[in-house]
Amino acid sequence: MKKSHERVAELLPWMVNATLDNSEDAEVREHVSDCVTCRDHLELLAELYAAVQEGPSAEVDSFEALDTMRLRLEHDGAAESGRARPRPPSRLVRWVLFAQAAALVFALGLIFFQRANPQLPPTSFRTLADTSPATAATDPQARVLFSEGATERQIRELLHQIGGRIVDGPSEMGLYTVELETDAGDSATVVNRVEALRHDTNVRFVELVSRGSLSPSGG
Amino acid sequence: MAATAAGDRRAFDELYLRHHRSVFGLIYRMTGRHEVAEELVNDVMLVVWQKACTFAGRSRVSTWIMGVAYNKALKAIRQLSRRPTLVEVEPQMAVDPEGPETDLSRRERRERIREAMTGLSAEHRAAIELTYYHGYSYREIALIVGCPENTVKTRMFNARRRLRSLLSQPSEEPTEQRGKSWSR
Ligand SMILES: [Zn+2]
Repeated sequence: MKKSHERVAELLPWMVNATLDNSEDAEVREHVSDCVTCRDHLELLAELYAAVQEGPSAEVDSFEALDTMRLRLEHDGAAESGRARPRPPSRLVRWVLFAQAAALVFALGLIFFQRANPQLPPTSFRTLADTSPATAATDPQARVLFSEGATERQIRELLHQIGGRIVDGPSEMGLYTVELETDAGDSATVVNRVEALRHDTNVRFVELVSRGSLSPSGG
Repeated sequence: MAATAAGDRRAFDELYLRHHRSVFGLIYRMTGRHEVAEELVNDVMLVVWQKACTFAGRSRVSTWIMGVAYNKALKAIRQLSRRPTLVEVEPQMAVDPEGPETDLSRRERRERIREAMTGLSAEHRAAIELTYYHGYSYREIALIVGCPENTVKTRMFNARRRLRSLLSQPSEEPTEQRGKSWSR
């Protein structure tokens, strides 16, 4: 009984959060039914559990934090040191990179003329350039996280406007893969459509990707 | 995870979004400081990005990441070299304000517990947070904090004992629940 009490007393915290394995749980339950001290401890632990659960939790925006992280990875030389560098891009990809860079300059110009959008720092474009091998594929794809409030109808209309269709998703994170129906070489169109998505209030997050042969499939 | 190890930025983004809130939560609860948590969370994620290829896969990805977060938070607390000031607890709006009287005393009791928790060491508080905020088993916590399972059990037991003694000390405003046998 004494031995059991000591062992059980140490296991009690995890009886409360229901993570004991079956045999432990059975032992704890049997002992607690006979031990006033352990029952008393359980009562405090249950209060502790509730107190922690109800405790203050900070409001934090994961997407905003990710933007900061990307900035850091791009500016921080340390980002690439200590890990294998990706393969250098092929000639074709380098050409596409060039074409896309030109398209980005064009898109940037458009945006400056259209309106200043505080939600769209210039770094977003660098992120786009970063995944540029993706646009080398014949079917450009974007990964999109729609706003929680977006209705199915709104999503369908939005996709119709930009000539996109959902080909995969949602992932665990709620991300959909959207294929953009457009000419393969026309990166300016692709960029513009991604920008249109990015500006839509029904979209929380969008990123241009593809199943390009250079990028390993995500997961 | 394998894709992140291979340097796939998109896979990393997804990993980041999946774990950001938990990592932030642990650091925030341990340090009690929003700005510290905000900065440290990306320090943690930088390690994840750089060291993903060394992840052996012996544990769940989440316990590995939380382990990095735990160590960063401990280090920060030591650098701050003073007991972290836990953020003022806001009134719990979720509880019906016109509910029965027992709701009020229950709330007061939980509030006292949270106050008492600020008197615990960072290690003790972390053990409690990992168990009750994040829902980890003692085996997972052992992996996260990098110590034997028995140490986790003992640490949690000592945390509880310390909490009891803190709760039995008189506070400024007495509550009817004082008589409750927490200091047994
Ligand atoms: Zn007992």
